[in-house]
Amino acid sequence: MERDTADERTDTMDATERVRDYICRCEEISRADVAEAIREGNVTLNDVKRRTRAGMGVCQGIFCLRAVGLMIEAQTGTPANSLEPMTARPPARLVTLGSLAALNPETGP
Amino acid sequence: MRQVDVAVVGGGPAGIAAAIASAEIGASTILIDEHANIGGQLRWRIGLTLKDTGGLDVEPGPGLVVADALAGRLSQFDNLTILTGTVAWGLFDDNVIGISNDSEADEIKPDSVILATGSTDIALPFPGWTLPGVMTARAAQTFMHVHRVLPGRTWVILGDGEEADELQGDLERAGVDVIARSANPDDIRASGTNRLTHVEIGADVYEADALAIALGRQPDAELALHAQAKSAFVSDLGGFTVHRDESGRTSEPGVFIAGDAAGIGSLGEVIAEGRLAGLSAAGASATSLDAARKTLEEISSDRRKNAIANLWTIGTGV
Amino acid sequence: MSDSRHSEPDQSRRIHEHPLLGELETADMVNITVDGQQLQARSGEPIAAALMANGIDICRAMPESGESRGVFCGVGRCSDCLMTVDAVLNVRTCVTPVYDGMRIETQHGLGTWLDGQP
Ligand code: FES
Ligand code: FES
Repeated sequence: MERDTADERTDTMDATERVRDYICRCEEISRADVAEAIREGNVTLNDVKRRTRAGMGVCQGIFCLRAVGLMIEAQTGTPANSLEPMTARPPARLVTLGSLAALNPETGP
Repeated sequence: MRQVDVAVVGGGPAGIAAAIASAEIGASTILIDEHANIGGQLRWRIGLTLKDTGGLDVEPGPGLVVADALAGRLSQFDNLTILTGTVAWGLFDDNVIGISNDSEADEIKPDSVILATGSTDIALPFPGWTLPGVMTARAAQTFMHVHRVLPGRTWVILGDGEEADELQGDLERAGVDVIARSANPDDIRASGTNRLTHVEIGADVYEADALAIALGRQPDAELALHAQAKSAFVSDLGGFTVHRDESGRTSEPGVFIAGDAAGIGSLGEVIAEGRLAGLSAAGASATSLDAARKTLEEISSDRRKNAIANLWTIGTGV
Repeated sequence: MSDSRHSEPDQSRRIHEHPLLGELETADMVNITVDGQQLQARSGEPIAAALMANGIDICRAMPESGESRGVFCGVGRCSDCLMTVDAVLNVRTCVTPVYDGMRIETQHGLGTWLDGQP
C-alpha cells in the first residue's frame, strides 16, 4: 500500500520538515527517492542500495533495509521475506583508523 | 595474533553460557564484549527476570543479579580470557577476528567462533524520526539504567508489543510520563525545529520531548554476514536470520551463532542455545551434548523450534 | 543554530534514585568543554550521557541537510551521535567515555577520513 498521507502531511510542514521523511537516516535518503528507485525497476535490496545509497551507511542497513523491503513489497508485491538477504562488509562498527593502523600490515585484513 | 580454541563474540546471556560451557570442558576460550561490563541485555533490560536457567548453573532471579553472578562464574576459569570494552569489527578468512579497543587493534585466530552478538532494535521510519529526542527503546534503557540519565521527561512510545510494555514500565519506574502510545509507524509524525517538541498520532497532537521506538528486536549477525553465512528473512525470529542448526552451526565451517543474534528468543532459550553452541564448538562428549540438547528442547517454544527447523528450506541464501 | 546548548546546564536529568537500581554511586567529577562551554561530567561516563545530563541533546549537523541529530541507537550502532573530540572527528559519543579536560565540539558534516570512504 502506498502511503497516500505523505502528501497531505507536507502541506502542514514548514520547509525544514518537508525533507525529513527519510527512509535511510545514515545517508539521508528520502522515502520519495526510494519509492522512485523502486518504480524505476530496482526491486531488490541490493538494487535499491546501489541506486539510492539507502543501506550503505554506517549502520549497514540495520535501521533501514527492513523498511526498504516493505516498500518493495508494497510497490511490487514481492514478499519482503523472499528478498535476497542483507550483505555486510567489515568494519561492523565505526572504528578509528588509528587503532586499525596498529595492525601488522603483513597479517592485517 | 592470538590463537585459541573457541572465541565467543558477545557477553550477553547466550555468549556467557557459551563461554562457560566451552571453558568447563577445558577449551582455551576468549570472550569479547564491547561494553565495559559483561551481561549484555541483562544490564539495560532491568525489568527481566531469569526463570529458566537453560542448563546454566546459576540461581534464577532478577536479571541484574544474575548478570553479576555470571560475571563471578566467568572469573573462576583459568582457561578463559575476558576482553571487555573490545569491539569485534570483522570476521575474515579462516575465522580470523579483527578486534579493537580505544587504543589498539589485534586479531584472534580461533578454531571455532561463536557469534552471540545479540540484537538491535527494529526501527521503521516515519516523518521526523531523525530528530534528536527520537530514539530506540534500547537507547532509552541504556541511558536510564546504565548511564543513569533521563533522555526526556514526557514520552510517546511507538509500539504495542512486549517491548513497548517493558519500556513503559521502565519509564514509569524512572518517574517520567508516558503520555501516548501508537502501534503504527504509518500513523505517527515527529516534529520540532532542532529537536523533538511535538508528536502527532493520527489527528492528535502531543507535546513531548522524547519518543521511543519500541517495535521489538532483530537479530544482529553482521559478523556472520562478513563470513558470507547464508541468511534469510524470518519474521518469527525477528528479521534477517542466519541459517543454522539447533547447535548453532552455520553454513560456514567453524562459525557458530547463538542467542538473539540467531533469532530473537526468551532468556531461557538463548542461554540453553548458547550452552549447546559452546559445548559443540569446544568438542564436548556426546553425553553432554545430548543433555544440553534435551534442555534446549524442553525450554524452546514450538514457534522457535519450527522456525529454526524451517530455516534451511527458505530464503534464497547465497 | 538555536538550541539548549547555551542555556544554563539542567542537571535535573540525572537519575539519582531508582527503585531497582538504588542510589547513584558517587563518582569523581571531571571538567569538559562543549562548544566552549565548561560542564561537569561523571568520570568515565559516555560523552553523550554527560551532555544529556547537562540538557544537551544535539550532537551533530548532517552533511547533506545540515539537520541536527542526537542519540538514536545509544549503543554505537548508528552514527547520529558523532562529535569532534579533542580535534578527532567522528567520535561516537554514546560509547566513548569522558576524561578530564576533554574538548567536545558539535560536528558539522563528515570528518575527512569518512569522506574518503567508498
Ligand atoms: S539507516 Fe540506512 S544505512 Fe543506516
Ligand atoms: S547513538 Fe547511535 S552510535 Fe551513538
